Amino acid sequence: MAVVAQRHIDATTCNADNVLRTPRVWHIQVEAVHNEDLHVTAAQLCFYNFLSIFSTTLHPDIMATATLPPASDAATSSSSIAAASSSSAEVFKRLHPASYLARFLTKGYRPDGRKLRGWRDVSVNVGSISTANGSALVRLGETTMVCGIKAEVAGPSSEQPRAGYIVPNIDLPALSSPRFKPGPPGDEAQMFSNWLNDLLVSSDTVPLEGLCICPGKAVWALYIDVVCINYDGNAFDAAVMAVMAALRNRYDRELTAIARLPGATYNDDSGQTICSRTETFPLQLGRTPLSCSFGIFQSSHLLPDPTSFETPLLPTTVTVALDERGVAALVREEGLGGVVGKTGEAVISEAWDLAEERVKELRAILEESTAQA
Amino acid sequence: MSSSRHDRRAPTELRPLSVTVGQLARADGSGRFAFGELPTLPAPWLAKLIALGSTAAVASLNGPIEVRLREELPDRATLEVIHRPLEGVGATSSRALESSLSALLIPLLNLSQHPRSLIQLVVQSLSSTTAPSFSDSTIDFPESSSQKSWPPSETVLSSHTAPASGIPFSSRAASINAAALAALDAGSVAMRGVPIGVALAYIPAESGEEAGLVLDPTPEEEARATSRYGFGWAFGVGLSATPHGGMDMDGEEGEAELVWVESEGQFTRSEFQEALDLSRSAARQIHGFVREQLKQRFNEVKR
Repeated sequence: MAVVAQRHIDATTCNADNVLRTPRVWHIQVEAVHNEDLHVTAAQLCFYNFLSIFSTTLHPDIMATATLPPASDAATSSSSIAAASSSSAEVFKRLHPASYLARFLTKGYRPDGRKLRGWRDVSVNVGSISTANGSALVRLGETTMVCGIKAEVAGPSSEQPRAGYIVPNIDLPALSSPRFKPGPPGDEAQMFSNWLNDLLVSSDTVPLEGLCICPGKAVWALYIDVVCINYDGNAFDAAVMAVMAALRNRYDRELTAIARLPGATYNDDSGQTICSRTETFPLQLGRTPLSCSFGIFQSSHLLPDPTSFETPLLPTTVTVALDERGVAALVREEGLGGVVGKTGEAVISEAWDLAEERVKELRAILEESTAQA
Repeated sequence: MSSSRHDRRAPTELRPLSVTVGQLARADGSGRFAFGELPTLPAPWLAKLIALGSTAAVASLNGPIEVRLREELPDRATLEVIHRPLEGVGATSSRALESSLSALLIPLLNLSQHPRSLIQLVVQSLSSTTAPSFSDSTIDFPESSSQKSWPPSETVLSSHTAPASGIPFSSRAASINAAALAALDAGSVAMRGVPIGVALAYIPAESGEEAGLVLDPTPEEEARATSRYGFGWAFGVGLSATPHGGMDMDGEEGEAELVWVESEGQFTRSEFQEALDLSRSAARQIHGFVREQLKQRFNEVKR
C-alpha cells in the first residue's frame, strides 16, 4: 500500500525535494490527495518528515517499522513488510538525498549501479526523421534527445555577405521531466541553448562560409533543434552528441541520408533561389567536438555523467569538449573547483584525462551509427 | 619584448582598472568595475567609456529581503541573479551568464545565514555585450560573386580563428568583479571569499606579429582570437579542500581557488595551462587593486 500511495503523491508534487523539506507545504499536498488510503500513507510520510527533523540519522529499521500499517490481517503482513522496506529506502532518498548519495559513494558506487567513474551507455540512431535534412536520436542512459536539422534559404547580413546562419536550440519540454514547467523555455534550456550555440560557432563545426549560395543574395540558414524526450541528467552531452550525429556525413558512398541539403541556384533576374527536388549534397563540416560533463559532490567526488537525481546535489559542474584530434573546443567550470586533497586546477586536469578516454568511446559509437545509416 | 597590441600594452599587461563602490544610493550595496578606464574620470563617464574602449559593469546587491513563496528555501537564502546587457534585452547569453554568476557565488556567500529570504543581485553591463563581427574572408574574396549556386565548386576553407558569439569574455569577467564589489559593499551577507574574474585570448600570428597569449583582451582582440578564456579565482581562507598542497599561500592575500572557467575556440592542454597560470597572477593583481581601493574608501568613511 505504501508503495502505491507514494507513487500517487509523486504525481501530485511538482518539486518533491522542496516539498519534503518543508512540512508546511507537505500538508497542503496531503490535502490535495482525496483518496482515503492515500490519506493514511501521506500522513505516515508526514510523520517520517517529522522524524527526520528531530533525528539526525534515520535508521532503516526504524523507517521499516514506522511504515508498517496497522496489521489487521496476519496473512498479508509479510508482504507488506517487503513493500515497506523497499519504500523506506525511497523515503530516505527523498528526505535526505545528499546522505543517500553519500552512502553509495563511500561504497564506491553510484545509485544507478555504476562505478564512481563510470559513464552511462550511449546509443545513437541517425536519420530517424525522414522529413528533416539531418536527424539523430541519442540515448544517454535514460536521457533521450532528438535532433532535427532543417535548412531554409535566407538573406545574408550586410556585414558578412558570405556567411550563412546556424540557429541551435535545445528544448526541455515538460513531458521530459517533472522538473520542467510548460510554457516559454526555462533558464536551464536557455543556458544549454547558449552553450550549444557558443560551441558550434566557436569550434567552426559548420563553417558559415560553406552555407553561401550567392554572396550578398542568398545563404542557407540551418535550424538545429534538439528536443529532450526523456530527461535523466546531463542534457548538454546528449544534445551535443545528437547534433554531431545529425550533422555527420559519410563521404565515401552515394545516397547517404544524413545532413544533406538540396542543390540550390540563385537566379539574378528573378531574385529567387531555386532548389533541386532530386539532387542533394552533403554539408561541409569543420571540427566535430564531443562533450563530457562532470559534477562535484560535497567537494569530495568528481562524478562523470550525472543523472537527474544527482544533478541538484552537485553545486559545481565541469564540462570538457574535445574534437577529433583531441584538441579542446570548450572547457567550462562553475562553482568552487577543488575536491579533498586536490586543487581546482588538478580537478580540471583529471576531468580532461577522463574526457579524453570517453570522447574516444563516443566517437567510435558515432562512427558505427553513421556507418549503419 | 616589443608590444604588438593596438593599445601598446605588453601581452601580459592589464588595461588600467577602475573600481567604485556605493555609487547607487538606493541599493544595499553596489559596485562598478571597469577594465580600461582611468580612475579619475569626470561625471559624463558613459560617453568617454565607449571612446576609451573599456569594458565595464555595475552591480547592485539587495538583501536579505522578502522572498516569493515559490522560491523560498527552508535552509538558505535564495540567490536571484539578473543580468542586463547594454543594448537590447537579455537573451540566452544573459541567462547563461546569470547561471554562471549564481553557481560561483552560491558557495562563496554564506546564504544559510539568512534562510527563507532573498538576496538579489542585478548586474548591468556598461559596454557592448555583442561580439564584434570579424571575418577575414570578406577581405580575401572582394568580388568573387561568380558563385551562384550551392554547393560551391571549390571547398571553402574553414577559418583559422574561432568565430566569437555571445558576451565578450572580458565583459563576463567585469560582471563577476562588479558583483563581488556589490556584495562587499552591502556587507549584509558574510562571504567566504572574493571572486575575481579575468579574461585571456590566444591571438594567431599576423603580419609581423607573433602568435601568443594576451591578457585582458579588448573585444576586437577577442574577435580575431583562436581561443578565448575566462577564469574566476576566489580569494579567501579555507576555500580549498586541500590543506596546503598546490595552493599558493602568500600570507596577506590568502589562498586562491578556481570558481569559474569558460573557454572556447581551439586549444591544447599546454595552452590552457599557460592561460590558467597567467590568469592566477592577474587575478591576484586585480584583487590587490580592489583591496587597496576599498581600504581607501573605508578610511574616508571613518573620517
